[in-house]
Amino acid sequence: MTYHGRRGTVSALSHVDFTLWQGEFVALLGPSGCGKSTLLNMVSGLIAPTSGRLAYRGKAINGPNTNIGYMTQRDSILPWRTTAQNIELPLQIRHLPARERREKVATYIEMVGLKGFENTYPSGLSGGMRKRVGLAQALVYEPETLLLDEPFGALDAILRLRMQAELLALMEKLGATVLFVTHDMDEAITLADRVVVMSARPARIIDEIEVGLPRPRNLEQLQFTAEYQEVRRRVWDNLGREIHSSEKEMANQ
Amino acid sequence: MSDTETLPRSTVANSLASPQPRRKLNPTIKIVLGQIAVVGLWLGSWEWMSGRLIDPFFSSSPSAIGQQLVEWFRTGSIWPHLLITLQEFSVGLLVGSVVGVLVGFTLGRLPTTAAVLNPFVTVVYSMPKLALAPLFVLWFGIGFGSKIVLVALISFFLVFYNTFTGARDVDPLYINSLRIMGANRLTIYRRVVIPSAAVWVMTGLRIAVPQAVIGAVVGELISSNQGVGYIIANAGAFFNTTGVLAGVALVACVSVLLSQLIIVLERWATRWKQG
Ligand SMILES: Nc1ncnc2c1ncn2[C@@H]1O[C@H](COP(=O)(O)OP(=O)(O)OP(=O)(O)O)[C@@H](O)[C@H]1O
Ligand SMILES: [Mg+2]
Repeated sequence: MTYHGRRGTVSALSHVDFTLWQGEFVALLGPSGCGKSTLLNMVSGLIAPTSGRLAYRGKAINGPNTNIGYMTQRDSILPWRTTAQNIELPLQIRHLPARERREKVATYIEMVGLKGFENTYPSGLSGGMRKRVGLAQALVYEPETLLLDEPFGALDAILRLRMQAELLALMEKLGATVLFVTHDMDEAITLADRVVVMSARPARIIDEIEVGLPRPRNLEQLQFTAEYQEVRRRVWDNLGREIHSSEKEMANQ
Repeated sequence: MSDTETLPRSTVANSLASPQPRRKLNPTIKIVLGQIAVVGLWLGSWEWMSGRLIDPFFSSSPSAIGQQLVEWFRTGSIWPHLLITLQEFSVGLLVGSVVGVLVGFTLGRLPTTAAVLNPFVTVVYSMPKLALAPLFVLWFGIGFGSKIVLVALISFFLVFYNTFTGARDVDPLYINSLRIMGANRLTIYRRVVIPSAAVWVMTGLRIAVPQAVIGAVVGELISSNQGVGYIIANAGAFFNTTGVLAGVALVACVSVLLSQLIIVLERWATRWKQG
């Protein structure tokens, strides 16, 4: 993927070749500015790759991919709608009956811990609260695939753990496919079936690690288990090697 | 993200840094007191100078103008004229802004057509529409029609231009987000483009209201046999300074009142900005 702008061109992605299997939870790890959000935008069909090919369920993606729920990195909830109205929006668009809409909205507001803020506009919410509205909005219509771009970055450690657990439980229940962008290695390992590590720009995939921890996972205890530490060491080792080799590459240039 | 997070912190720091002032007047009261002082000083010195330094024939005086206004309303002689002016204003504003909103939204979402028309729009926008008033009289007669056309034209451009800007200003992030949720064009219009541009439409209306009042009055000044503008023109023809100034003051009051109404409407339409 290459961006052509007035100030020159940026090669965001090159040689990114991977498959997201149905029902799989994949975490995308990579340095800032390497093209993770770009990749998500392409999967969602909002931008087309300048070269290469993307397919969803075997069909080339052209135009917005309405099978997915996408929580973008930047807040995309509508500022003129309250928390409840924002979460209700995808259900309205899908013409669900009012009663069902109300029930679902209430369930998801509860899930993201925003009870009492149903009628608040985004301008009256904190950054982390707005993120949670966005998450609820992406989850509420239970799409078969979810793209989440750093959904928990703005949350405190305890809330983050709670949201991670809620997300995992829901995904396990729905059997949904998830592509999850994060900068946090522990978050990637605790949540995902597979961690995909990208290099700096122009990004390529430098490693794919099967996490292989059993499900359902108990997030509070997971981090203290031997298996977890084992996976973590493997990821670190691979990353360390990669950092070394890229440093050498840079030195050679 | 990061700036929204640091903002409250710095506000806290500021309020901690500034010591709590004691026995200090509430700022709103201070502002109002200041404004009363300005008005008092202005009207007082005018009243004092009139008859002492300046011939009241040229300057009239606040008390004479006040008396004239009271007289108009006591006898009720001003009502028919005021109503005519208000009718010209409201019909003209309504027609102009409805058309302005429709055209603004349409062109705002048709970038190519908008680009073709852009220079022409700028030219017409920059034309002094009031200067066309005599032509409108020629085309639409000296009655109601010519004033409504003038007011509608003035309001149209102000509302159109703002709506147009607003419709182009919609953040594509919101539109994309709705497209992924499966929204069609109509839904995107209803849920995103219109609410997003509403802020701009309201701004256009707020600017248009006083201009529309001026349009109606100037239209009447140029040629008519009714309306507040006609009263002003009539007084002017007889060198009745008090009558002219009383008419102008009346127009200003009406304009301010109408603007306040629009501001209330605007606050309501953009209440989401206050959280
Ligand atoms: N619309 C655009 N036009 C031009 N260049 C862009 C555009 N969007 C992104 N880029 C460039 O593409 C590169 C990748 O951006 P992207 O947003 O995908 O990074 P990211 O991996 O999501 O980073 P972060 O972790 O900081 O969110 C960046 O260098 C950025 O400058
Ligand atoms: Mg990003």
